[in-house]
Amino acid sequence: MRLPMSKPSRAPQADARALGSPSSEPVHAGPPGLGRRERPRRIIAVGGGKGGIGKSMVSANLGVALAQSGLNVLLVDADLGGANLHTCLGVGQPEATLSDFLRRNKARLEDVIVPTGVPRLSLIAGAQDALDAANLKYAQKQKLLKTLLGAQADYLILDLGAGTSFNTIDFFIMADHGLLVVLPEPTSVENAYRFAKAAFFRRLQQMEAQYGIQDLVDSALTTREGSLRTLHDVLEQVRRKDPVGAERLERELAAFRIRLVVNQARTDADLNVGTAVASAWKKFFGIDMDDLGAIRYDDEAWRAVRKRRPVLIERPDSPAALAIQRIASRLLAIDGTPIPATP
Amino acid sequence: MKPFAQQTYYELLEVPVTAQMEEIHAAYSRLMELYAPDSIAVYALVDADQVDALRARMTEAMEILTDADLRVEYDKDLGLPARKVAEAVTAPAPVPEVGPTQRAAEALASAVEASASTSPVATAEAAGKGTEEPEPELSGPAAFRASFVSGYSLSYVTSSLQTAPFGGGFVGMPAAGRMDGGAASSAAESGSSAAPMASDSTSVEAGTESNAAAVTVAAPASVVAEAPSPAAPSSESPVAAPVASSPTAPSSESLAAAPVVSGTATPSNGSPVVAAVATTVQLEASSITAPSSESPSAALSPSDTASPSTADASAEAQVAQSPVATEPEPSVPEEPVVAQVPPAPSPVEDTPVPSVAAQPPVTEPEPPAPPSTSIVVSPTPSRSTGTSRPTSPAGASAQTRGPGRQLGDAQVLAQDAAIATAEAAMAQVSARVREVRPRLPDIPADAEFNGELLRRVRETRGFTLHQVADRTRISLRHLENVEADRYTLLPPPVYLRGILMNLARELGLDPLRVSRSYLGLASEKSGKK
Repeated sequence: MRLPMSKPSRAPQADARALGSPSSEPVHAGPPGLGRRERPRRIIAVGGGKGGIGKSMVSANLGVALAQSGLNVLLVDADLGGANLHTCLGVGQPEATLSDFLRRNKARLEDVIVPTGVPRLSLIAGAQDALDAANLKYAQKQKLLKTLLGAQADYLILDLGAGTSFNTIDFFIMADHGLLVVLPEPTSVENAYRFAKAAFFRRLQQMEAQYGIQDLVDSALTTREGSLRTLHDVLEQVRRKDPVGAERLERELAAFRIRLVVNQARTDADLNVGTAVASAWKKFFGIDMDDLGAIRYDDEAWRAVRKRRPVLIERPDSPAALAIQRIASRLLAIDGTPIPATP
Repeated sequence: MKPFAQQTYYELLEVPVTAQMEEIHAAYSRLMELYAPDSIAVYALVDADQVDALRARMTEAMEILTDADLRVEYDKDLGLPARKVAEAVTAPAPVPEVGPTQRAAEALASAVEASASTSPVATAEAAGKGTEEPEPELSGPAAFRASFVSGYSLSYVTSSLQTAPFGGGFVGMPAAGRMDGGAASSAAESGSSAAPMASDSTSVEAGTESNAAAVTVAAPASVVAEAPSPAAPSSESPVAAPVASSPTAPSSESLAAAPVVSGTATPSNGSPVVAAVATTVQLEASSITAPSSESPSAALSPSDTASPSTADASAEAQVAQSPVATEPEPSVPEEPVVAQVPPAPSPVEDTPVPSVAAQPPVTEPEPPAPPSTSIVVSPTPSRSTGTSRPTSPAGASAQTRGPGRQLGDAQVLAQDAAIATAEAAMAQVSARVREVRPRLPDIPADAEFNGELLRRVRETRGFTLHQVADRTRISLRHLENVEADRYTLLPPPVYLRGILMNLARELGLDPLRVSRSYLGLASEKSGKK
């Protein structure tokens, strides 16, 4: 039995974004209207709130790492206002971008996929031409979300932009793995927490219709940032009204896991920031975060960006490249995917 | 996942319930670093006071869990199986499966017989060790713990009072493991000395003594861990430790606080066991440390411990120690000591008396010293011989009385003061409330708020029209017109409504009701006119 089907409580649209099947059998969970097609087995969204923390670098290299381990990977540059994933991969200015797909109603996602030069790794570049590309309309966003859910790949990696706009958050919470990139510095950690909170409550908001807790969530959302309610508070309130619903809500919220990647760790202490953040997050917010590991600050990574090549290809033995490979294999381990023989 | 305020200490420190002492310490220091105020991990996550609250609770958790006795008690509260805890706490003990009571009883018996060579030796060792080790330990952690406990003790007292069978509050808690054992064993021997002891050491002292008790208990705990022998020696070792420490280093007044306190607390731990062993140990300890300058102190230490064992009184302990160590403060605790003396000496035994008697002169010819020591001795027989009935209650009563006079008075005074202030404040509040209520004219639920009623309300409030106009920013003319029900002269309803709402708010009335009622009147009357 597939995982989504085993949870009858889920609404259909939630079903669509539920965890895919861990087995390799084709899953027909595509949204209606787009035909029945395979959906990506796993969606990874890379976010982080703050800009310039290496989201694109992590996305690109993670894509390379997963592709190198024999999986079909589709990278999507969802940083609509500041797309540069293609640069990280050395693709150059792509002819077809996401905005082509978004503007032309008839275009299929396949039409805007460009190869990256790395086997099994393809790219949907971010919007280049339109200056208002960042301001995705709701309908456009829905279309993109649905289409992405129907994309054919083993892994779909979404490189998100900075900030906590709903455009960003919605992609993040759609993913199976929400990767939160964080630098070991207060500005980044601050934004990461804000991002995680925003994602958490956005998720809650999406679920509220199922549980009839609109008021509660709304009040929680309007609270000042500092006194932002935690999962405990929300659950407590829901429980007072509807104990059974609270149980389900708790289960579903617990399934919403953020995975941390600490980037540019310069000291040994920095390497533990991920664990610390995850621990503090859990202590105060009551939700698990996974620490996927830290990427050492590495001049090779910087040099690779200068060369517009993924560090994993440019210098596969550099600390940064090794760290990303570790993260990739950890993700695969979480998904229970036996790593195919590397080509 | 619970909010951290509801987590158990184990969950807080993220350790298993079977965690060893080092594990807990390691976890604690790791978490303290993690949740340090300047830690990056908590930056912008939550409010600073939430982090502080978490840190405080973690410290609390560490304090409890790293103390053998407190942990046993806490686990009992949690409903954890005692055996596991006993294992974790006293791993090296030869009979870990046996409950603390039985172990203590056994140890006690062996000590009484003096046939078991291990226990005295161990205690002597502990005493010897104590002279060197605990002193540095005490000064640091003790002060820290004191600060911690001051904030914490009371909160726990309540809970432990409910659950702890001995009702000793925080005091009982530290003692629990030992008291437990000791009380039970002594009961086995002499009768029901446990009950009075426990009951006496309850609420009155809880507040005052809890600090003292808690402060030291943890310190001896480390010594306990070191002691390789079962409960009896272990419970003694702390006793010996603080006492020994008090004479050795902190003879200076500044440090006196810590050792003195320790002295007071020690008794609560070691009380039962020590009492019995004291007689045997006394000689051993003194012989071992005889050559050193601390000989009197060491010799006294058992007796010292014995004395408080029955009487927890901090005052007493102070007396007992003050002559021994520094003799700086004889004046303070004399009265309670004296008060205790009469009941105590009655069952005095022969052996300890001479030894003790010999000591006071050695150290200092203090007037309070002899009595204090004599008390000290009295418990010893009480436990060992079985004449305890009179003594242990006596000691216990002395226990309550001692601090009751000393610290308790201060506390009571402080309480009285606090209560007085609170009552005064309450009185003020209630007076104000009472003042207002009667002044308000009775407004029936269906009353119509016409100008007349509004004027009456205003007058009962003691406001002049000018005052109201100033505060509400409603022009005097409008106010007058409102009160005179000159509807035609009033502004259009939209404005009038605002005026009425403001006015009603100022008068402490329900703005909506007033405005609706008045506007209704206005529209109806002006329509007629």
